[in-house]
Amino acid sequence: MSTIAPPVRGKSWLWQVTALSIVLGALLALSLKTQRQAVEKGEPNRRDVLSATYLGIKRENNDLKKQLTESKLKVEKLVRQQARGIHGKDYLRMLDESKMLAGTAAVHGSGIIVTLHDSPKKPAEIKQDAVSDYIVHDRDIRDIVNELFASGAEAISINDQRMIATSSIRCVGPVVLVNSTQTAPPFVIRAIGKPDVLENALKLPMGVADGLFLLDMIEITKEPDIRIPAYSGVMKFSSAKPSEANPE
Amino acid sequence: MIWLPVMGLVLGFLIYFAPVQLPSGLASYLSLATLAGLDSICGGIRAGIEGKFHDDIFLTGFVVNTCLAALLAYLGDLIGVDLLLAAVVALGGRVFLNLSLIRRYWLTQTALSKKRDL
Repeated sequence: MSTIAPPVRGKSWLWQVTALSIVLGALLALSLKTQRQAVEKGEPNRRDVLSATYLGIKRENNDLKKQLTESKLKVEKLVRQQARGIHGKDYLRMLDESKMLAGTAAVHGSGIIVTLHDSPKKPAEIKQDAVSDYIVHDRDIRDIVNELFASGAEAISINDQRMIATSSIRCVGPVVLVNSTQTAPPFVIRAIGKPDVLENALKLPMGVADGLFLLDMIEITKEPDIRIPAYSGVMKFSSAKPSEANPE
Repeated sequence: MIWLPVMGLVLGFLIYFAPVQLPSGLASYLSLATLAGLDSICGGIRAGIEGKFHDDIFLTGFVVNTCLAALLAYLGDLIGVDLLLAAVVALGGRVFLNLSLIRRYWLTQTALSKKRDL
């Protein structure tokens, strides 16, 4: 090395470097702080917050559901206490019938249990429409429910979701929504009515369940006594109002 | 004397404990600006040792490089190209080059002074 620097005349450059070093230090500190802040406030943190919120809401929901059930029971008890006299008994009977019709009361009686599941058989050819025939669709459930009501079923539930006047059955991707609640196969349809009539209605040749029987996707058992739960959701009428000109 | 810039660094670092908060989106730009600043400081020290130190070049170099690096990163973010990496590679290379030169000068200087003492 022959090019060694000559002794620096004056150390003024060192002071300038020092001054800017202070700025650099500040920059470094800010950068470090911001980086750490970014890491702390990053993805995992947000996920934690979201999952905690979700769990909290879920728990709250469950508590509210429990509370609702308790309140309903309390109301039921109060109504029965209040109903005295002949008129009271009459009204009580009417109320019970309305509730059964509306699906807000649990019921039991003879009926059938229909179980729908995806076919155990394999389609001969893997084609989109062929494969589609081997799984249960919302329309299968809808047809069966319709057929059961047509043959005199008095109460029906699908996977413990009670069919009521405003019930809907529809397909959402891999699951089926019944009363806006997700359910998945196997679909257990309970129907209260005359067991023989209900069973024969489903076994009609060229009937709604013909294809299902062909592919072993349906099983029907007659039961002397089955229980069907009450509708557990909320009933809200925002447009419909009771008509003044009620004949009753 | 070599401790003066280090002391300055420590002094500046004290701002870490000040209640200053910057949006975390600025993190990558800030780190790039820091790297550019480090490059300028190393370049300044090297120039000082070589006796070629120009205060105007040093000052403008520090300010312009720092802002330009951050701006470049921002531009890269805008057009979807990681210009950040280009800046990091270029600046990092220069920092290492300058550091190695500083080390070399320092070593030869100490060797010479030892020889003179003997």
